[in-house]
Amino acid sequence: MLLDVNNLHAKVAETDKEILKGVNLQVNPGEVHAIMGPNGSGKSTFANVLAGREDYEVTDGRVLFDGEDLLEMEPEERARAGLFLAFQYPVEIPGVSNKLFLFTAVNAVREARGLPPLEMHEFEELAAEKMKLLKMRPDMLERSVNVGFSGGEKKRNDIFQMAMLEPKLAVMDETDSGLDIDALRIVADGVNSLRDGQRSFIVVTHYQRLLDYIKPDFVHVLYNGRIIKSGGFELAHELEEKGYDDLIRQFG
Amino acid sequence: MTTSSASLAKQDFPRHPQSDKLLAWVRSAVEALNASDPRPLRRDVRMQALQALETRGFPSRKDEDWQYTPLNDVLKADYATPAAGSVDASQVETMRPPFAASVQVLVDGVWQPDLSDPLPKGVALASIEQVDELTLKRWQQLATVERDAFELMNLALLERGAQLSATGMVDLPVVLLHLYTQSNGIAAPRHLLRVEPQAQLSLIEIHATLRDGAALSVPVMETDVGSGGILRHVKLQQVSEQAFHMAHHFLRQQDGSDSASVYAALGGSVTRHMTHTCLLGENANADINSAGLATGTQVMDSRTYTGHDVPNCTSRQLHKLVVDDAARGVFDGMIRVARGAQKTDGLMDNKNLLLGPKAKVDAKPRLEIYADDVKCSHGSATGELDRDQVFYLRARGISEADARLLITTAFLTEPVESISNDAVRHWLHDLLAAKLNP
Repeated sequence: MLLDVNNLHAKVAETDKEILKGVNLQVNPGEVHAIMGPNGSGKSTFANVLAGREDYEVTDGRVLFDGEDLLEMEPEERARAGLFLAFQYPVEIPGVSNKLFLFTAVNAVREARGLPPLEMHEFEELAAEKMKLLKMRPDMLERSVNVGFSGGEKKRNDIFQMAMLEPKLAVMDETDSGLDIDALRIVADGVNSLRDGQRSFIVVTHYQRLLDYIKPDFVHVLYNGRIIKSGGFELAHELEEKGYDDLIRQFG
Repeated sequence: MTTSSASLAKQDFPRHPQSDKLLAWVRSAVEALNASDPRPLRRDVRMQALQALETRGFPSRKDEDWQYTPLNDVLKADYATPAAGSVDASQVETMRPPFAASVQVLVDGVWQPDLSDPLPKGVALASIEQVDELTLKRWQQLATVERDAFELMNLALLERGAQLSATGMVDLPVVLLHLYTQSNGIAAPRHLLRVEPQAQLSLIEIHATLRDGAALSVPVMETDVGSGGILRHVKLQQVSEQAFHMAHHFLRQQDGSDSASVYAALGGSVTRHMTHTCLLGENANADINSAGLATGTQVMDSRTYTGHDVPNCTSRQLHKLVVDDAARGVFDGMIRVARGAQKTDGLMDNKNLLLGPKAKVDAKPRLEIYADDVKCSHGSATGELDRDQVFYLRARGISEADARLLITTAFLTEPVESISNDAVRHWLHDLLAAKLNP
């Protein structure tokens, strides 16, 4: 098992407000899981707690990632161990070029995996190849991280980072928010191109439309900090037709 | 908030209670200089400046311009009697910047042709000793109580410095390498720079001390850029951590001229640099940037005055301070648009980053506009490192220390990224980055 989440409880560090109230989830290598749910159900919190954002405090539960205690690891250690968070709102970092940022990141991850660092020219070749795959303009590498990027370009930049860092598990935090249908398709194509039967995905989303392109193996409904129903891809369709209210009345 | 110099009375200059010690030092230095100087006009410039300085004294923190920059340590220090230091060629070699340039060495403010490179074609350099009578008469007029105390101190100590002029397109950058040799000396070089009409010059000033200690440097540079002239100016301040540096750069620009100036502050205990720009001819442009990194208990003060005196001129400014530990940063910037200076386009941006819990920045950006058809703006923001930016980098496997360093370096070096000479830009970028990551 790649990820084993057991009875995870978490609160907002500043306000003590409990958001996650006992989440259980198991992900095997190569599986794609979708987590759906209404606004405020705790979807984004779940994604961010997995990545180690300090705004949240875990109060109970256990998370094993590749057999290691994930919650004991710093955010950078989680990334080096192969966990990747695609951000709902990728951050702009003026003055730091995509190239320097990603070159530093790739070599930090390689070092942790016992691989020799890439030379700059090797890195550039690899980056050019991945960018072509994602239909990104080559000059994006020279620009400051996400500065002046459109919403779609920011998300694509995140997928590009994923392609460069080759994680074992990618957690997509509402990657589809704010994307038009073309951008959505490009992001989905990017994700699908990274599905290799070994890499796993947790796709957090409010809507079904991204899932139509990605086609998850499992769909979970998160409500009020707990997963109230799990099923196959058909559950997403059911939700699209009937909405969350029915389900919440039944299980919530 | 208009200040008309004629209406200023003596009480407008709150006097620092510890002024007398340094005033006495300046008086005895002036008397020694005048005793050996047969030229009455120079003696008079010195004496008038001394008297104005003694009348106003050094400013206390009740003086609005000195509210955030304490002079106690500067005034308390024991300074040695003036002496002309000497350096050898190997010392110059170690201080030489790593880019192609004509390096002109100034030891305690005195130009040393023997230690200096040949001058590039189009550049003339002479000691300030040879300054003409007209300039001396102008300086006589300057020696009034309304001027800044350190500017007056520089004028009172008139002796050292260089006159530099550029004609035509000068293709090699000229470096004024200031080496201060006395650990507790005072040096007050005064330079005149003239960029002739249509000429182009790149000038780099380096101010460095060769020994640790409470030395005080008080340089003044007066620059005139003629019609259509182009000036690229960089100043690096890297005096020792105990030293004081109180500097002025007066820049006057004629029509169609273009200047770009970057001040980088690294060293010093208490330091200040003022870039005072007057746009005197139409269609002139001035870019004025600064980047300062204050650590420990350093006090770094960077300020500008930008006078749009005629219509159709532009100015662009970006000033950044990164302040760590218990250090202090001060930014003060004023854009003044004179009556009738229509179509003025002036932008001034100041951003400061606080790294230490005891770090502090005081910023005072100001606009005074007396014309009605202008586009002017100023902004100032001080904050801590953005946690979301740090997390974003960490979430990609970069350590927290490296993430902070990447973001801070990018923040600090932005004002130098506009330097057009690649080698000069890299040199300055690397110096700033090296202080962040020692």
